[in-house]
Amino acid sequence: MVAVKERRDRQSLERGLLLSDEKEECTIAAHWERVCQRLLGWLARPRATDEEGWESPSTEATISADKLAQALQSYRPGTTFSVSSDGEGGISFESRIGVVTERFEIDSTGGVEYLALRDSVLTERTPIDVE
Amino acid sequence: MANAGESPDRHTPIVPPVQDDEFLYRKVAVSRNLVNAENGEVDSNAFKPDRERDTDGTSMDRAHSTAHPEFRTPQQAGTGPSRSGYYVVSHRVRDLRARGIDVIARPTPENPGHVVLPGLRADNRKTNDAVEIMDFLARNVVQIFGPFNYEVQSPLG
Repeated sequence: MVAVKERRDRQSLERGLLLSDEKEECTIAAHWERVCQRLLGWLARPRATDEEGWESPSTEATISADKLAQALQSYRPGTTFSVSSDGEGGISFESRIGVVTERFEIDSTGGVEYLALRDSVLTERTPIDVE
Repeated sequence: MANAGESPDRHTPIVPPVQDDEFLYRKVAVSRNLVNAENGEVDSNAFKPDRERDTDGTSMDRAHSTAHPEFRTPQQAGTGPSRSGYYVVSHRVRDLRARGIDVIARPTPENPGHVVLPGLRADNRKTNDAVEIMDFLARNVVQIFGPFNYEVQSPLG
């Protein structure tokens, strides 16, 4: 009886883990789908100014953001980044895990910079190529 | 550390110095997608100084309290031209000063509780110091209020 119970428990656990993995994959896929929709929205209205004077991303920034998003999905599959307009024609990707923040800042010309912070102290800041 | 809000002219109110136990409010337009009210995360760009307006520092409001009824409530702080409305995020003055972030009173006739963070200005907004301050502010939000002042009335009224 014990062996049967253990086997059932293990099967149940494996099923649970599998479901959990699938659920996570779906959540991450949905996240990147939302990012894609946001990029398309910006592409439709580049450099539009809102009521407060903040400027939406330029076409160049949005094209770089699309390339970066694809690279992150390939090379950082488990990490989700919040994606926002910097209000000056650029786009930021930001992820916070524990005390570490990672940011990719895309300026209005499409140039990309990687920044890492630990406890809000900058540990790395370097231009990167997303081509 | 406290700074008296000295009046530059006779129309600007004189206000008491900013105390460590006060709270500050910062409004963030809902349309900018910088606040995730569900998980409590706020993007660093919510604190980015405006390149034209924030020449002497990023603006915040001192919080309304029984000691300071003249200052704005979250709903009053969350007003502005954005038709999508505003979230209002709060910080503790003590937390900011412990990190070395100055808070300076800059009262105006319309807003006696107006303050600026002079370490975070239009001219230094892309520097390493500014990046670190923005990250600190994003990580140390005490509370998220709102959204307020939708063009369409919110269910909360």
